[in-house]
Amino acid sequence: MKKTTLQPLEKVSTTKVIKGIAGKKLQESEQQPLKQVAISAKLPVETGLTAIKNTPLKKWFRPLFILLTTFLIGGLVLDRVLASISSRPWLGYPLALIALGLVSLVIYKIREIQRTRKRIRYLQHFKNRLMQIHANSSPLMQHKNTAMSTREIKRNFKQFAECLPLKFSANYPAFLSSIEPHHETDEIVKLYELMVLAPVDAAAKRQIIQDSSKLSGIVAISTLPIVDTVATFWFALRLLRKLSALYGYRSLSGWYLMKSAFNSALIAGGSEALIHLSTDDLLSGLSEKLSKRIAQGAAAGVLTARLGFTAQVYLRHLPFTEKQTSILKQIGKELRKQWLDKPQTSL
Amino acid sequence: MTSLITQLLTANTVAKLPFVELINEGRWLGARLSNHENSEFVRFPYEESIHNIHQLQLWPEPTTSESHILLELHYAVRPSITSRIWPTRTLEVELIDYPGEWLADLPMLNQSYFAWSAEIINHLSSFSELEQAQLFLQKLSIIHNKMKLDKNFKMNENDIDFLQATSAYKGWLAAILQRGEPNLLLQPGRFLSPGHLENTPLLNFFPWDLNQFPLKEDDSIISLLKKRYKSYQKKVVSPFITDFFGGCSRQIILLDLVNTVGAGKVEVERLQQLVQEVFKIHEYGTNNWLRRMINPNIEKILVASSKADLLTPDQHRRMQHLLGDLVRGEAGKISTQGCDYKALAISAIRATETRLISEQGKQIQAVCGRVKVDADSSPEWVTVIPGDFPESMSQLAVTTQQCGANLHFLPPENWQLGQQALPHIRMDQVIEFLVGDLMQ
Repeated sequence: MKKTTLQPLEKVSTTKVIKGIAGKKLQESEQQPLKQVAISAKLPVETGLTAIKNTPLKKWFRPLFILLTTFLIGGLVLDRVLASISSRPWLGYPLALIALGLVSLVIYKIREIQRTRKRIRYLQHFKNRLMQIHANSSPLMQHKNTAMSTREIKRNFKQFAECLPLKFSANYPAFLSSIEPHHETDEIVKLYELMVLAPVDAAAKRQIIQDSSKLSGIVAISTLPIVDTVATFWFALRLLRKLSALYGYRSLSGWYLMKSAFNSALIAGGSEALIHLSTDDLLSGLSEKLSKRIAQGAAAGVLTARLGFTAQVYLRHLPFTEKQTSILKQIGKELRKQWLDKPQTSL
Repeated sequence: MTSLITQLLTANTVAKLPFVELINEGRWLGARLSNHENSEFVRFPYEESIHNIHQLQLWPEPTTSESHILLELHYAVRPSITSRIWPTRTLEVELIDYPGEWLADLPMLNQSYFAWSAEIINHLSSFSELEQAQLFLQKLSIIHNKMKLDKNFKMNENDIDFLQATSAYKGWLAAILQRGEPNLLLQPGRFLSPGHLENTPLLNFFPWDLNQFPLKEDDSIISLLKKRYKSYQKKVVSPFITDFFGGCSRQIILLDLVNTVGAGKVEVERLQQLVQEVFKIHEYGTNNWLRRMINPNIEKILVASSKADLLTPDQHRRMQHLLGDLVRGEAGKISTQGCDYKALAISAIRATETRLISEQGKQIQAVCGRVKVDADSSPEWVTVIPGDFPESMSQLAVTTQQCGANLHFLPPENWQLGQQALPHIRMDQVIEFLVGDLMQ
């Protein structure tokens, strides 16, 4: 029997302390895998990609090209502006003000994008670390989870939750209070997913389906390829913006997502042109025209939904651990839910 | 079981069950105990158990016979075509309580009388110094002498020597159980908790030590014992499996790893054998609608280790890994058949608290709970540093002293039914795993 001092905050009056050692302590060789987990988790995420990264020439080419082009265009514009000011001096002040405003706006936007990029990069790094821990969760490697402490996980979740819209971040205190001392790191992650992230996911899904179904209608009705292209591009960007806002980001700057949005827009416009060609040449009947239009609308909707789900995976605070059902199934399920929910919401 | 019922009954008021998705989604409407007016079974004494914990600060009485209780879980269904017609539904859950000793009989199903006798005699030989053991051996000796003296002696089941030997064997088993040794193979289990079979001829037999008292197979006592053993297999053990587990699609295997690890490697290996026997008697896999109605496979199995509150939270994962190691082969097999498997370290009622204490300048985790030294003395707080729990079979020591395993902590202090959540460890995950997907 041995008396020990309790933490000052603990108010329990302990009379006896029994110290017992049960199983044998781990050998150093058995502890080795844990160290490996810790080291591997600290590595930068892009480690595997560095080997195939751009050569120095390629690396400098793009910024140099942009800089030169900007100088060239900027010089031409400036020359024209100065020429017009010299011929009409009263234009000087308003043009200078407009230029200043534009430059400020551009700087503000660039900084916002940079900040978001930084946060999203950190999010991807965090998710990769979680995935690594999950992958290394063999019995002898997981038990202490030194790769990410509970405190670190909580700190990250706090940062993520603070940026969420108010109605979702309100769930964060409930999540915090539900954490018990016996909860392991993976259990805390699961709790965050259940209590904080699940409502955001549901709202994101709703948004994706809503926007893609609206777009399907517009693309099906419109007869001009340009309308289809612009509408698809605009809807895709709008969806990306809304999803970013749902997950607590001001703007989304994923090049891959932008490219997907642009591709969807091109496909929508191209399909419209194809319909024009086929109906004009083959003189098809009304039902055939209708079915083509519906198919075109559905295709545009599915492409936008696909883009939305990809963005969701990108923006989500945690990786999807469970197997996701196919996009078409998800769309079908959500549409059914929406139809069924409508009367309830109208009441 | 008391904890499970309390958690479900107080789920929408005070219980802390964050892992139950139904509650997070706001679809949980409530639970209530169903009336047992027309039931032919004994009702599980839930109210008495709660009274013991709440008012008397005592643990519920150990289960000695079979009892049933029916719970109705009310919930709102997720939006679907049918949810427009039936927005709320009720899931009826029947909980059956039976003494854990009955499970010890399962290996007997695949054993002959001689194999069983040899094994049980060998197993109980470490308790041969007990007075009851001497009495049993004495009775065997009397019967043996009788058989030797008269080759044509016909022993029948109402013979006084036969009955006395049976009684002595039962007394020996009871004495071992009373010593509190974490011995798992006290067979037949019904001798310790007979339930409704008390005083029936089905429970009249005993193992014969052929090494010490050699006899021929055609001797009347051996024939009689073999006959009684077969009856026990056919009329007690087999119906136990079909009646209790038939029609079940979810299974939970609850193990006391803390005590077993404390008893040493041999006991853990014996527990492993027992668990393997349990896995053998069921069919695992997915169910289609027809199979689910007629004879369902077990589609979800939870292997849980109780008394996790005797360990510090940082040891829970080690306990779960040891559990996983214990059932590794079986878990692999059933997973390939489509059965969902999970291992958890749980505590139905958490009787301890985790504290950080300073030991030689270092902060270490310890568990702290109330213990009564004598029946009349007032409870005192005891802090235990349990040490490292082995996380695999290879780490098990031949004899391990698991600190805190022998301490009987009292139930949580000042707990008020309906006003405070009953403290637990991972009971919410148990509920979610076993019935969560049935309430969509």
